[in-house]
Parts: sequence; structure tokens; C-alpha cells
Amino acid sequence: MWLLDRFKNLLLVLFFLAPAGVAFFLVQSLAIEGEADFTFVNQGEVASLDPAISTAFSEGRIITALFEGLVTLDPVTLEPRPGVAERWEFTADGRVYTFFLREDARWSDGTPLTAGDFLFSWRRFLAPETAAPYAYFLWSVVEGAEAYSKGLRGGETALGLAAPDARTFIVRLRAPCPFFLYLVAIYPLCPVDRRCIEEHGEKEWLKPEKIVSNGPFRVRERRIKDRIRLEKNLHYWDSQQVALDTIDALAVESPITALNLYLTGDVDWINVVPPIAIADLRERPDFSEALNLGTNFLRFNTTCAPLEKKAVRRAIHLAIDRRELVDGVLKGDQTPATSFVPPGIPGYKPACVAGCEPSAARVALARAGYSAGEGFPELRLLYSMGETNRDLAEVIAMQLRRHLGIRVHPASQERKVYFLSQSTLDYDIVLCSWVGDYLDPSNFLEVFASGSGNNRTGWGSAGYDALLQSAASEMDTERRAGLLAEAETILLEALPITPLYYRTTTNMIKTCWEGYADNLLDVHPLKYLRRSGGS
Amino acid sequence: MIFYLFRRLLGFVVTLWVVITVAFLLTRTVKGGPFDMQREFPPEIKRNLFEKFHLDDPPLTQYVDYLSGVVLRFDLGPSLKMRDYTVNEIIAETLPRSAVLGTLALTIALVLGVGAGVISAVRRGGALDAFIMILATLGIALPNFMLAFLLIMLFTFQWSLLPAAGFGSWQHLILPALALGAPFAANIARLCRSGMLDVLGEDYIRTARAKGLRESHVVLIHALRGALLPVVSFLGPAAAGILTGSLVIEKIFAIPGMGDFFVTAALNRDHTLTMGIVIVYCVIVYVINVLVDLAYTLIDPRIEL
Repeated sequence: MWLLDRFKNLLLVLFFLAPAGVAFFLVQSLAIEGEADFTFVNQGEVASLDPAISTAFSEGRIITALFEGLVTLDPVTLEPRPGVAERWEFTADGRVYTFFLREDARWSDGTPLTAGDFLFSWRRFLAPETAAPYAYFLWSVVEGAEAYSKGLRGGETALGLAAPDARTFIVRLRAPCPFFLYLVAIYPLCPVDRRCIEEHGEKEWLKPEKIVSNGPFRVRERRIKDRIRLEKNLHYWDSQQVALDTIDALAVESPITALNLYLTGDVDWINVVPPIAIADLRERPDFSEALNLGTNFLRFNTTCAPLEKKAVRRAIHLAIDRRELVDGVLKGDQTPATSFVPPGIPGYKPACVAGCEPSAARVALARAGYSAGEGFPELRLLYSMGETNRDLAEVIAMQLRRHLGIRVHPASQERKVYFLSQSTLDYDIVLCSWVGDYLDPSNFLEVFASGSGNNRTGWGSAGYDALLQSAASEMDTERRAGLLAEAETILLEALPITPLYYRTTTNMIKTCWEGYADNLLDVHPLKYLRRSGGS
Repeated sequence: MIFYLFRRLLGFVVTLWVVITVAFLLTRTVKGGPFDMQREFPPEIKRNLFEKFHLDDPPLTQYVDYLSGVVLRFDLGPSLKMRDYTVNEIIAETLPRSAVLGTLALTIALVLGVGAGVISAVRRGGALDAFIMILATLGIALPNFMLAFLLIMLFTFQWSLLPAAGFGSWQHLILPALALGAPFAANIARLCRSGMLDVLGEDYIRTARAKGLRESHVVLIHALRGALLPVVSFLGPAAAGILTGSLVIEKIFAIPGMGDFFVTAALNRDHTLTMGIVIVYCVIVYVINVLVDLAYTLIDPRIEL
């Protein structure tokens, strides 16, 4: 009996403690070997390594390290630079681009990279089976792209892509496109290896041990939600310029956790700094805040009263004190916006709209029939869940009450519901943002074209659409910029939106690294990073 | 015993079916879909995406396909958001990490809780008792993320003893396991103390003392076993709490576990991943509850299943 008693106690203790022992044993086996040369926080799990189907910034950082397109962007000036194509030329009418691939372009398994690979990859990007979210970027640009993407008959033969020999890739455009090279540089147009995909099948080819890529790095290991470890790709044509042998991209999601890791020296670079910490870190030499190609703005639902009246929208526009938003809520280097297209795009001078003028705002409101806000219905100001958005919405509501005497209720919605409310026009006013993909004003202005799915305001103007149309076929860059600026003026006169502020990005990178540069697109290719004073 | 296990197995099948069905209904009726984003894609592209994941099938077909996939092939489907992985792959890779964290947290909760409870009961009314009980009350009141930040401030920034976040060595696990386990330790301490006090007044304890057994033997062998009953019955809810609590802790400490997906998958409308995780949680909680029932019989011979 006594023995059994003892046995039982032992069993009990085992029952409680054995799992912990196993756990301790397990954790060692789950560890990753060795430290990488360079570690950075990549803000969330990478949804896919497939260039064609990726859309997020975090994916972009990895995909541009793994793959290289025909054209890359200079990390400082963002000008198009040779990538896999060592040079290119285009016809006088700007309709045909010919890219000449470099001879030493190789896949990471050492096999040559040919124009046929680009033909395959671009077709795959457009194909309906791939369901690439950004395929429509090419629809209005490349001949036959839209029909091909929509699976229409004869799409394949009408598609304006050709690879006459292994080193020549030809793209025929629907109309001249002044920003075409910027478009070619976006990462969804990077090449993927046909043999690899056909051998292993969709999805399976992306496994670290199978994936073949052509960029400065290759995948060594990938752990869900933990990290992706990259290593130098020795078959990359420019590998002599690549200083880093291994890189860890951590999937850490919380900006506060990322900052903790940075401050304790565990990571070398974080690409977002929590707003509450900015004031304390601003003076440090490793902190940088830069203008981003993005604008935060309010959308108005122009399909229902009272926002269908231009005077009402104008009154709200004039009643918002954008300086107060920036200084009181954001506390960063953002600047109050006077245009929808942010400044900084070469060759384009954004239109300009008046800022905060409370008395003019009251006059506009009175003209719409709501003198001193009397009889004005209560409106909802929608925002996507989050502290900064909440504070912005509350300050805006307060300003509208102060300057116009109207009541606006801030209402938060969970992200996906918030997007849905916008596309179904189930809102009055909504706080939103737009960040550009390439350096061209059309990337912004096309949002509010009549048929655009991103419009989400119910507003449309034939004059605006016509200007965008003529800009699209205008060869002269100066005249084109003029047409686009004219369109923007129409937008800012009609005010289906009101710009709030130009976005900025915050980064912290240890001062021992060079080859990092701030730019409008917030892209920082890992290829150029090296330790100061040698590699 | 065998009959008992059989009954529980039957109950398990029914529970799982109900959980899958309710989860399916919830994920399909919630507002917003997996491909609603900052940018609105042209309708053709959205349609391609829906076709690719069979989201354009009638709901009943989707339900039957899903259920048969789970039952016949243990196939939880592809993730709608993490496109390179299937849900099975995601769970297989991240569950062990969460399990490691959870077991450590539960062990910490038990060791600290029972230890503190016993000391508190033996020194009843003393300063040590008061101190432990104040600490326990604090532990229950303090949410685990507050504790997490407090621990990071002290152990990482003040004393530079432990890493702030990450995964890969035992040092990385100490703070998250502590933050996750502490509130449960506090609960266990209180339960254990009151259980102990009840038992210490029982006749068989007086008999044990009268036999001339050492006090430590009386307390640790005879009294503790009786006192553990309420603690063991608390283990079921505690394990469930640690599972669901881990999603906050995993985020703060960047533990690449499964807990965080519980929230993010739902937010991303990654229906298949959400369902997969709900199923896994359901299985875990059920199994733990059965284990707790079995543990009763070990502790108290009067209980029969």
C-alpha cells in the first residue's frame, strides 16, 4: 500500500512536471543555427515569395532581394537602372520597348536566364489562373494585356510580348507610357523560373529547398512567423558588389517589440518606429524620418445628402486645421497637404488648394443652406481601428464642431469591414490613405477616374477623365505633366476628397551600416548594404 | 473506465462537429472578405481569386467540401493569406512552439502556485502569508501584457539579463512563460491555500500527526494531496486560459507560435486558417479536460470514472 502510495505521488509529480522537461528539450531543437550578418525586422509574416501574387511592403523587401527584374531603381534617386537588362531602347513613338538581357544573367542554380523566362513570367503574371492582384497595372499599358488577363479568346496571340532570341525581350505598348520603366521595375514583374515551377508545381516550388531565384540573395531557411534567412547568391551577375553573406528578416509584427529588439542590439534595422517613441528618438543619429510617396485624406460619399453638395464638402475642407493634426496628433515631420499627389515626383508640380479658413468655411456652409450648421444632419466619420486614426478622427470632428457648428461622429471599424464600407459607399466621410507604387502622378490621379474601383466616392467628372486620357497618350513629358496637373485641379475644386497630410516613413538603422538611403518609395535594397569602412 | 473514455470520445465527435459548423457559419457570414484591401482590385481579378479558392461555390458545397476534407484526409485546406502554405503546414510548424511556451507557463504556474499556497497555509496568519496573498491578488488583477512589459523593463533594460523578444533558446522563453503563467500561479496559490487549510483540519491529518510522522511528511504527502483537488479542477480552465492568453504574449515577445494566428487569421478573413486553429484549440481543450478527470482518480481514491 505504502509502495503504491509512493508510486502514485511519483505519477502525480510526473504528470505535472514531465511536459516541462520535454518542452525544455524541444526548444533547443527548434533553435536556428548561427547568427546572420545583418538582421532586420520585416514587419509581419511574408504572405508569399511568389513575385506575381505579392502585394505588401514586407514581401517586397524579400522578393527584391531574391529576384531581379529587367530594370531596378537607384536606391538614392529612384531612377531606372539596368537590372537583368543591361540596356534598352524604345521606338520614336514610344510604343515598342526592347530590352537587351545581360549575358551573365543566371538563375541561382547556375542555369542561364533568358528572354523566354521573362516571356513566361510576364504571361504568368497576367494569366487568370495566377489571379495576380496587380495584373491590372499592365492592362492599360501593354498591348493585349487586359484581354489576356480576362481570359478572352485569342488573348495569347494578341499579347504584345515577344522574345525573338534568348537575349531580347520586346514589349509593345497600347499607347506611349512615360513611366513604363518605373512600372517594369515593380517586383511583381520579376522573372520566375519556369522549370522550377513546372517540376515542383505551384506553391511547392516556393519551399526554401526548391525555390530558384535570380537576385542577389537566395533563401536558405524559412520559418513561419519567425524569420527568413537569406544567403548570398553566388550566381548573381553582380555578386561581387554584394557584401552581406547572410541576412535574417524577422517577422516581428509589433512595432514596440521591434524597437525593443533594436534597442537591445538584436536587430540592425527597423522600418517603423512606434509614434509614441519618436519624440525620444528623433535626435539620435540612427533615426531617420523621410517624406513618403503617400497622402492621407478624407473621402466624402458624394452620392447622398448633404455631402452631394460641393459647397458642403468645401466647407468641411476649409474647416480642417491640418497643422493641428500634424503637431497635435502625429507629432512627426508630416506636412499639411495642399494637393492629392504628394510632392517629390520629378517633373510634376502638384496643384494647390487653399488650407484652413474657418470664416470662408462658414460662408460655404451657409451657401449650402446650413447657416451656422443649423439643420445639418449628423455625419459619421469612419476610420480603421487604431490609436492614431482614432485621435485624428476625434480632432477632425472637434474642428468641424468648432469651426462650422456641425456634429460628426468618429466611428471605428475593423480593417476589412472598413474596406468593404468604402467600396459599397456605406459611409459619410472616411479617413484614408493612398501610397504610390511608382513615381508618376497618374498612379494617384487614376484613383478618382470614373470607372476606377479605388474611387469609392461616387464622384466622377467627364472633364477629369478626358484629361487623364489625353495625358496617357501625350508624348511630351512637360505637356503631359500640365494635363495631369489640370486634372488634379479639377479634383481639388470638386473635392470628393480633402487631402490632410503627406505621409512620412521612419527608419532606424545602426550607424555601422552604409548603403542605406531614404527615398520616397521607402525601398532599401539589401544588395547595397555593407559595413562602414570596408565590406 | 473504458466506458467512460468511450463516452467522452463520442462527446468529442459531436462537440467537434458543432464547433466546425458554428465556426464555418461565422466565418462566412462576417462582413468583409479575404480580398477586401486598401486597394480595390478590378472585379475580374477578384473573381479569379474567388475561383482559385472555390469561394464562389455555393456555401453548402463549400461546407461539405471542407468537412469531408477534414474528416477523410485531415486536410484543413490552403491558407487564403499565407499563400505558400497549407493550414496543416502552418499548424504543424507553429503549434509545437506554442505548446512549448504553454507547458512551461503551466509548469511555472503549478510550481509557484502550489509552493506559495502550501507555505501560505502552513504559516497562516503570519507576515509571509499576508505577503504571498497580496502578491497573489496583484497577480490576478494584473493583465499578462502589463506584466510582460514590466518584466521586459526590469530583466532586459534594467539588468540586461534576458533577451527582449525572439525565439530559439531557453533564455528567450523565461520572460514569456513567466508573464503567461504568473496570473495562473496566483490563482493556484489561492486555491491551494484554501484547500490546504480545509484539509489540515481533517481527522486523518490529526491521525497522521498522532502517529508521530514528521510535519513535512504530513503536509507534503497527506495534506497536499487533498489540497490539490481544487487545483487540478482548475487546470482545465487554466490550460484553456493559457492557450488563449498566449496570443498577446506571443505578439509581445515575438514567439512564432500559433496563438497569434487565432486573432490575425480572423482579422485577415483567412477563413481556412481560422477554422483550422479553432479545431486545434477545440481538440486541445477537450483532451486536457479528459486528462484532468483522469488525474482526479489518481489524487482521490474515492472518485471513480
